[in-house]
Amino acid sequence: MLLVKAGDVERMGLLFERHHRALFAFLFHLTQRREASEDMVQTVFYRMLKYRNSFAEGSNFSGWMYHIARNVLKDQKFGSDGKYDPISAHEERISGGALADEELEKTQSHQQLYKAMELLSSDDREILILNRMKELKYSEISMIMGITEGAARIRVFRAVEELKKIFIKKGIKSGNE
Amino acid sequence: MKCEDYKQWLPDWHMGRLGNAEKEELEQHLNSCDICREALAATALVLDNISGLPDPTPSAQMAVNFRGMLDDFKAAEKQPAATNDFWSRLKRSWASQPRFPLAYCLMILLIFDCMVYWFSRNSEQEKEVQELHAQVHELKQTMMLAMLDNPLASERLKAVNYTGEMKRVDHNVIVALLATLNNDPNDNVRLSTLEALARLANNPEVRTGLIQSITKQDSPIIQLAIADVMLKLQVKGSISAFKQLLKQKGLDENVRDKVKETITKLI
Amino acid sequence: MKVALLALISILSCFRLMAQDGRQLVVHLSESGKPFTLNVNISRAAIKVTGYEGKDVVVNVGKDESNGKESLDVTTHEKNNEVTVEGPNRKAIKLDIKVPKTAGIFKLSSVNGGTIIVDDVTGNLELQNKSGGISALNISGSIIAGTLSGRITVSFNKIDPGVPMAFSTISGAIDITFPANLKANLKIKSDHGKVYSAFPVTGDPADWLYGKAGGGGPEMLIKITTGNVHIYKRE
Repeated sequence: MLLVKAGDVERMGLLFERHHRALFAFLFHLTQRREASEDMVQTVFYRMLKYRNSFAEGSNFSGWMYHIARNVLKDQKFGSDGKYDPISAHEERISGGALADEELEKTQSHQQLYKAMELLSSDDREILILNRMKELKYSEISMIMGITEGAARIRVFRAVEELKKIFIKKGIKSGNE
Repeated sequence: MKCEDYKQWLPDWHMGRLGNAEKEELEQHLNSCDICREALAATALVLDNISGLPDPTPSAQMAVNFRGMLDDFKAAEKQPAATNDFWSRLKRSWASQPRFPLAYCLMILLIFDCMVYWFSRNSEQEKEVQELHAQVHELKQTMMLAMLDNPLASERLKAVNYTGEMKRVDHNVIVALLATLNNDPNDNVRLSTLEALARLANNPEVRTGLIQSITKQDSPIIQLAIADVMLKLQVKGSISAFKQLLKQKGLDENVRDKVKETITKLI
Repeated sequence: MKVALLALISILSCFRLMAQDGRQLVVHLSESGKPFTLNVNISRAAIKVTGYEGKDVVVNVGKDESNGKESLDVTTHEKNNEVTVEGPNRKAIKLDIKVPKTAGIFKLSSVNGGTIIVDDVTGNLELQNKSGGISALNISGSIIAGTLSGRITVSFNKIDPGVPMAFSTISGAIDITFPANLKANLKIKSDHGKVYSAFPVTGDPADWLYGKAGGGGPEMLIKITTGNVHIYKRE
């Protein structure tokens, strides 16, 4: 990234190649919208290009990238209180582009998990998806979320406990239908 | 440190994020604490499910769009065009995420399941352990039901086989097994489901379901197997369903003979 | 610009070469080298799938036996590494498909096209036939195979640990060669026939025979109504 900052903008291509899949996955797991996630990846990279001068030496690139990604997510009109809007996502799935079929192929178990995660706060959701990436260190996760490492650990713990409760409630419900 | 504090370390431990000292301390505690071990099982299940979400493949269009964006950006900033041939150096550098399939989650739970039964002695603890155990059982069933929807027949087969290892099988699981018996697209999955249900034939709901399934099957392999099961279990209530089956046109000759034989032996 | 690019890509993925006996369809995978899926579900196709050193999926379509002409009604499409081969329902055709040796999911089914033959591939195989045999040799991975009338012959180079399998037929025979270090629970039944297993099994011969190989593992379900079962160990 430092090379990009120094002026070799072409190097961004390498960073794109190395990181765009993980970034796309991160955004997709949080929104379940393919096209929107692809667009957001472009937005993140555009912002990184535009604000490359603010990338501090010794900083961690992925940390910076996900930090920007979270902001991009907040900027999207996904619902008035920033929460993920399941209705319009559903509409996108039905009407959505050439890749709508893939949504239908998603298995029910994954759907159940996404639905359960929708009931979490956006911060909880985000930290769980960040946590899932083993290559991200705790120090990076706490930097991305803008909290201390101790607070990050507690947040992950609380999010997991919350999800357990949701699972159990949903599990009993779906069983009786 | 109390259990409440140790529980907060569980997610980190499972993701391999704990420092060595904390890791050892937690593992020591887990050796003697049933409650925390149960909690770990549930935590592991949740985290593995999240890790198990398949990462989507970005479309080929993305790289094209990025290229476009980069070129526009360069033009706008009037940067000297680098002649590095980015495309020819396009290599796959992103290794796929490690995944923990549902089956692995269920295996972890099974191990802890057994451990719990072995180690719970303290009666005070026992009540809490039982409660947590019930929670874990609930989670297990939910996961197993989800696995029955998997597009891979081998995963569905795993789910069916798990019912054989469950100590008690709830109504929802029986309903799901019967649905699988009647609707799964793969003959072998249905065959395995029949075997799993045969093991549960003490349950009247299972017996009724099996009888109803007789006229719903169109694969000769399953029809033959049901006849065997009904005969072995001496389920006389199946006779009328078999008679109905004999009326079906195009019934496989092997099946016809077997069903006639079964009816005779059941009466 | 986008439209032209898309058109170019779709033309390339259906690129046809005039081969000597029939047509050849070359299907490029969206991501070469990554796991792929092959779906072939054609009633009267004789399906043969072989692993080869290339990166694409190559479908060789035999000439129409009835009139010696090219079979033009076999088509392929590919999306995100999932390849589907489609063909006519009532015409007998021969498909000789070459696939990369990287891991794949294979869902092959036919009704009365003949034996389904798979050779030298890696991955998860779901093979379903009705009136015809199944042969899967030199496989690394796992298999679920079923037919109503025919012989099932299988040999493994490597097994996917922890994955249950099943093999069933009504009439014919079942011959399976497992690696000697197999860890599995065997469950075998032949209603009218003999069972020979290199891994010890016991039980009531009128019912299922059970055995544990390597201390036990996922279940291998093997069932035949009329015919013999042979389970071999490959050192």
